[in-house]
Amino acid sequence: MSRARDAQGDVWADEGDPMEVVRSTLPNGLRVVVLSDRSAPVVSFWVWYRVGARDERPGQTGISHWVEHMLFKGTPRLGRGGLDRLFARLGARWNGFTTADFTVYFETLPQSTWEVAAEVEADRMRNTVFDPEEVERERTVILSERGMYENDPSSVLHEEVAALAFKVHPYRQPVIGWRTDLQRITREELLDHYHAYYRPNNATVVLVGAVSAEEALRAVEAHFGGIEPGERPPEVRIEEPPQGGERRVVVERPGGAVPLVQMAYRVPAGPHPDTVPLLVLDAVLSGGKPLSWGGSGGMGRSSRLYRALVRTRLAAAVSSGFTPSLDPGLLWISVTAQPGVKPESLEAAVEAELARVREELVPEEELHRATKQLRAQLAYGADDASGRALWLGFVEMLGVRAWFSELPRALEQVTPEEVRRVAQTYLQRKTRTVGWYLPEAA
Amino acid sequence: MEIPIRPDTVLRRTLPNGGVVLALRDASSPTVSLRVLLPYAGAMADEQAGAGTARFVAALLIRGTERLEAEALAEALDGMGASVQVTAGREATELTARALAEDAERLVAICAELLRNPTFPEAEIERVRGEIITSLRVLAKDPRTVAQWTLCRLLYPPPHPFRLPVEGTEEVIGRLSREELMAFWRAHYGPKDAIFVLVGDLDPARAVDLICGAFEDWRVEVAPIAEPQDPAPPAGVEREVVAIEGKVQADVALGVPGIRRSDPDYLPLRLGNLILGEMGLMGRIGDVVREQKGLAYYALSHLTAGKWGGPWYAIAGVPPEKVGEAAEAMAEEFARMRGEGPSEQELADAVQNRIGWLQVSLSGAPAKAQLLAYTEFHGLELDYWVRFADRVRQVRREDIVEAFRRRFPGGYALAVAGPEGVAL
Repeated sequence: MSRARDAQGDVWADEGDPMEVVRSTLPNGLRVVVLSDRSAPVVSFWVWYRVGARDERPGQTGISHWVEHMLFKGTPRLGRGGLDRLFARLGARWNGFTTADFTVYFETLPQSTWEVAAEVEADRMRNTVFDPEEVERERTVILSERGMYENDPSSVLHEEVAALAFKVHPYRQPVIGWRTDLQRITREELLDHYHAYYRPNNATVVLVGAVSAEEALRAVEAHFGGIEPGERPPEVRIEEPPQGGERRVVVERPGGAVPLVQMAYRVPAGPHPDTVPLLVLDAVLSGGKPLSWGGSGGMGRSSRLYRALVRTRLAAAVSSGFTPSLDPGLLWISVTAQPGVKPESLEAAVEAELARVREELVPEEELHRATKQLRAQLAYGADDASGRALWLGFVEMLGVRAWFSELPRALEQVTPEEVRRVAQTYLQRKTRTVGWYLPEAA
Repeated sequence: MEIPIRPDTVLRRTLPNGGVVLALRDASSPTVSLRVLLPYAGAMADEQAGAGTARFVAALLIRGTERLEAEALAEALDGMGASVQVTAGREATELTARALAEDAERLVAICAELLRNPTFPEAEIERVRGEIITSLRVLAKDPRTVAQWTLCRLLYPPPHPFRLPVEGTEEVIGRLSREELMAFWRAHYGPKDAIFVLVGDLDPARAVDLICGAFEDWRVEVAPIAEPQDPAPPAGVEREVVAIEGKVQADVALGVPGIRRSDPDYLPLRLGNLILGEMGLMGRIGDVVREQKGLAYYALSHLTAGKWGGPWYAIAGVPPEKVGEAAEAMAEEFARMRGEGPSEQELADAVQNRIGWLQVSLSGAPAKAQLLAYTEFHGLELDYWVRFADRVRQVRREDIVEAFRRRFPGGYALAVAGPEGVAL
C-alpha cells in the first residue's frame, strides 16, 4: 500500500504493515482514522462526537442522549423514516449510543455499499430535522426508556451511588437524564445542543473494513469536506474536589428480590499511566472482561471476589469493572446477595479481599492468569470489523491511541508491585461511595 | 458476493457414534470458537424432569469433573483466557467456548471432559441451587420476563414443554436431588445427533482431528424426546395480567404459537415478520407504537421458528396507562399484514435486508460457528447460504399474506406484567 497523506501533508502510516492505522485531519477539523481490513467483505463506519452527559448543565441532563435519538428522525433529503429504510435495505447493522463522554453512531454494511454510511453521516451531522411533534413523541419514548431502567433495582442503585460519589463533576448525572429534566427540556435547547456539538471539528470518523485507506479518505473528504467548522465547543473544566471520607446511600423500595451492594472507588482519568495496572487489578478481582464488542463473558471463576463471595455462598453474583473515562471516574464493585445474606456481610467480604490485595503481592501465576484473560478479551474483541472499529475509536477518543497495538504488551509488563501500589492508592475506604439496595415489601 | 459457509470451505464429518463435526478456517483473529450442540439435553426434556432441570444440569458441568475439581477447572480455563459457557436452551443445550488459537487443543480436551465426566459435587449443587433461586427471584420481578413467561403459558397447554420457563421454577430448583440431576445428565447427554463445530485460526483438518480425538470414543445412549404437538392459535383473545409491586412501567406481549423452521411458511413469515416488527427501527410495529404514538422505547415482533416451533409475538414496554392502546396497535398491525399485506417496496427492502444481513453477520469466528451449528441443527445443506439470496427473492407478497392468514387467523394471547393496578 502506498503512503496516505492527510490534507495537511502529515504522514503517519508506514508501508508494509498489514494492520496499519492511517490518520488524517480535514481542513474543517474532522479527524479521520482508517484501518484497511479485508478479513470480511464489510465496512464498519463510525462517527464519534465529543459530547455526552459530561457536557450537560444541570436542568438539561439527558440532552445528549435525546439529540442522539433525534438523529434517527431524518433530514430533508432522507425524509422521515428514510434512514431506517435505507439501512434496512442494505442489511446493515447500525445504531447509536451515548455515554458520559461521547455520542457515537455506526453502520456495519456490505463493502459494495459502504459509501452510503459516509453520505448519511455527513448529512445528519448538520441537517437533522427537529420537527416539534417528533420532539414531543421522542420525549415519551425516552421517558419510557427511563422507565425501563427504573424497573431495574441495580440501575436505580447505580444512579444513586454515582450521584453521591461526585459532588460537582457531571459524571454524577445519569446519561439518560433525570426524569424532571426530561419532562422540561425544550426543542430550542435540543437544537442549541445539536448546533454546538455536531461540527466536523468536534468529531472523529473511524472506518475499519475492506477498502483501501486512499479510497476511504477520498470518500470521507468528498462527503464531509464541505461542512463548515463551528466554534470550539466549551471545555469541561469542572474538577471534582478530593473526597475526605466514605459516603453511603441506602435505597429502600419495593420491586427488588434480594439486597444489592455497590461500592464505587475513585480512579484516575483513562490516559493516566495507572489505568493499565488498574485493568490488571480489576481482572485479579473478578476476571477479564470484554474491552470492546465481541469479548466473551464467563471468565473469572478463579478470581478473588468470586471465590470470596460466590463460592462461599454469600452472593449469587459479583462483578467489578471500570470504563476508562476522560476525567477521573469510578471503579465499581457490584454484589447480588444470596437470599437471607445481609449487606454488611457482603461488604465485609469484599473489604477483606481488598485489604489482601493492598497488603500482599499478587503471586506471579495469578497475575499471569489475569493478564492472559485481558489479552484474550482484546483478541476476541478484534474478531470482526465492528469490534475492531469500536476499540480503535475508543482509544482514539480517549487519547490513548498507542493502546490499539501496544496494550497487550503493556498489560504483560505490569508487576505485582504495581498492582499492589494502585490497590493502595485507589481502593481506599475514604475515597469510596457505598450503596445498598434493600427490597421493601409494599 | 462470496459466502464463506459453503461445501468447499466447510469440512464435515459424521462420527460412528452419531455426532457430526464441522470445521472452517477463519483467520480474522488468532482465536478459535467451539460450539457443541446437544439436541436431547435442552429444556424440551424438562417436561418429565421439571422446569429448569436442563438448565441446572448445564450449570453444573463447569463445577467439577473427574480430573478437575471446580477450582482447578476455573483456574485452567482462566489461565488460558478461555471463555466457556454451557446453557440449556429450549430445544438444545449448547456449549460455547472461545480461546486463543494456541490453546485450541487444551480447550477441546477440557470441554470434552466437562461434558463427558462431570462429577456433580454436593457442595457445588447447593451453590448453583442458591444462585439459580436468586436469579429466579430477580426475574420474577422483571415485567418483560414475566410477560413472556405468561404468554407462553397461555399459548402452550400441557403437556407441551414450551409452557414451562426454561429458567425453571423455584419449586423445582429447590427440590431436585443430586440423583435426579445426574439421571438427567445420563439420559440426555450423548453423541447421538450432537453437533461439534470448531471455527478459527486453525486448519480445518486439524480441527476435525481435535474433535475426533476428544469425542470419537464417546459411546452412550441418549433418551429420545417426545415430539410435541403444535397447538392451534387461540380462538379468541386470551388475556392475563400480572401485577408486580414497585414497578413504574409495564410490558405487554401479544402472540400466537409460531411455526417450525422446517415449515413451508417459514421464509414468507420470516420476511413478513421483518416488515412487521424488525426491519429498520423495529418495523411497522416500531413505527406505529414508538415513532407515531410515542408510547414505548421498544416495540417489536419476534418469530422464534425453532425446530419445534416457538412463540411468534409482539412485545413493548409502555407506561401502565397505555397498555391497552399499545396492545390494540400491535394487534392492528398483525391484521394489516393479514389483510393488505406488505407493499412491493417493503418486500423488496426485506429481501435486500436478508441478503445484506447474511454478508454483514458472517464476520468473525463466533458468528460463523453459530451459523454452522444452526445449519446442521435444522438439517440445511451446506450450500443453503449460497442459494439463500435466490430463495428469498422467490417469496411473493401473496405468499406472505397467505402465511399470515394461516398462522395468525385472528385469535391471540395477550400477557401484561407491570405495576399494581395495571389493566387492559
